[in-house]
Amino acid sequence: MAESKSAETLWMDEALETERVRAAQQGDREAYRQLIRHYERPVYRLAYALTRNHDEATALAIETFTRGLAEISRLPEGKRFFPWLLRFARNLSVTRARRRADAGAKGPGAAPAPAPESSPVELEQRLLDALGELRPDEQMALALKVGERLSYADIATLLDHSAGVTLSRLSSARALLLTRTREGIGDLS
Amino acid sequence: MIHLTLNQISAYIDAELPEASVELVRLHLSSCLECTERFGHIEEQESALARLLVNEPGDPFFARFAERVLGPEPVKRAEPEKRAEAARAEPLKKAQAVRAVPPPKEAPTPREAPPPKAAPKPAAAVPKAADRVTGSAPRKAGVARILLPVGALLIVLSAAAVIAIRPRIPQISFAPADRRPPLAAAQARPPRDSPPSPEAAPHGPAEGSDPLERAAAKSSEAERAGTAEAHDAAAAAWEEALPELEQNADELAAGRHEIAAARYAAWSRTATPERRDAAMRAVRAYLLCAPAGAERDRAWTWLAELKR
Repeated sequence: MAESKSAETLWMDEALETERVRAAQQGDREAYRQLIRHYERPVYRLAYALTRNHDEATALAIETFTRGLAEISRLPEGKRFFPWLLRFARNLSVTRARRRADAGAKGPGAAPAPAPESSPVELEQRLLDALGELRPDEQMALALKVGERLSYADIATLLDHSAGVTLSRLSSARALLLTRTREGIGDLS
Repeated sequence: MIHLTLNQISAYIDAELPEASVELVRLHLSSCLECTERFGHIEEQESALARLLVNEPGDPFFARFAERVLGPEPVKRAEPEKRAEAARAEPLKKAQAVRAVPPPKEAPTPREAPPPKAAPKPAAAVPKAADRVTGSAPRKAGVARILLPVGALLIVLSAAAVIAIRPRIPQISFAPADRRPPLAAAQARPPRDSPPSPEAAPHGPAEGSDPLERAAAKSSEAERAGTAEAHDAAAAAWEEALPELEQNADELAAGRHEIAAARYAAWSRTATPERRDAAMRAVRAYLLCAPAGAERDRAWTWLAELKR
């Protein structure tokens, strides 16, 4: 069983964060730089888990913070910065995936049929193909679980839903990946 | 028999089940072959996901990250002119160190800079495969940040950088003789026993300030020494240099290939669990951005071998 990591190290001290956010809302770019420095690693890791590509993850993470800066004045009083920022990452990731699909890249439903036997390497190849089929919310939950090893409660806080929804999304994501990468597993519900 | 649901298995794997339920799941798994098999598949899948979805680019990458969103941090103290002057001179100093030509007395101003045609070899004559890790793009980016309005100087410096660094790259080879790096790259490189290019780093293993120069020097050392430790050092140097290549996807892929090859070479020389893990991470990182072709195919065989 995988132990969950505490989310405490993930968060900036709330009072400090509030101060930085307020300053950034007043146009203080250096205050926003402090916010970036605190959250750049988890945002990059999430972006990487969503894109599976360093260049794309870098671009997505940069775009996420850029969008956050543009919209910082709209961050409601009392709302934490990080979950608010993650919504941009999610939405931008969806937009990018759609753009790729429109450009003719491999999209949902285009995954190759799994072969009966699979080596670890083949499993990874199939997983890479199948990950694109997950719904954005499943991808987000899986990314935070695998990338940050957060508890269901922490993931729920970040994604603004309940722990039960986190479990449901993780389970459905795992079920779909199993279906795509294995044969003969049977009913996975 | 009632089987475990995927929700139960998921919560069990994630250590999110209450203690009483944990015991029930364990009891069931001890007696149900079907659920045990499914549990094993999910565990295997989770391990693979952890390998595929997690990447840590390291401190050098994050040292510049905020700058890429907000631009350079404002200079706090005086002497901005001196800093700008030093920054202008830096790319040329690096190029001069590699080319071993007498440096000009002063860094040329944009108007004084020699035109690209003065370069000994035009960039267009560089073999395509050998161009992959030239470091020209990062240099361009660095210059552009400093002297964005001065287009003419940018072009001149870029050309100088291409010419200066180009000769080093074909000499790089990380893999042991029986596990050569991809054919295409190997073909782009001169024979192992060919005399060193007069344009190559003239001062021996360079410990200069340019991460690309350092990486190239470490690679040469690894090639000569052939030890796992030397390949470790080469891989580490390329990892440090990787941010220099991020401006260009092809160069980044080539850089990641060099890291993967070096890590794999180190493991194949002296296998340790740490080297195996490092090599697997490096090969996977390369595979995720590798263009289709012989190099990518070879990397898959490395990965398969590492997993044996």
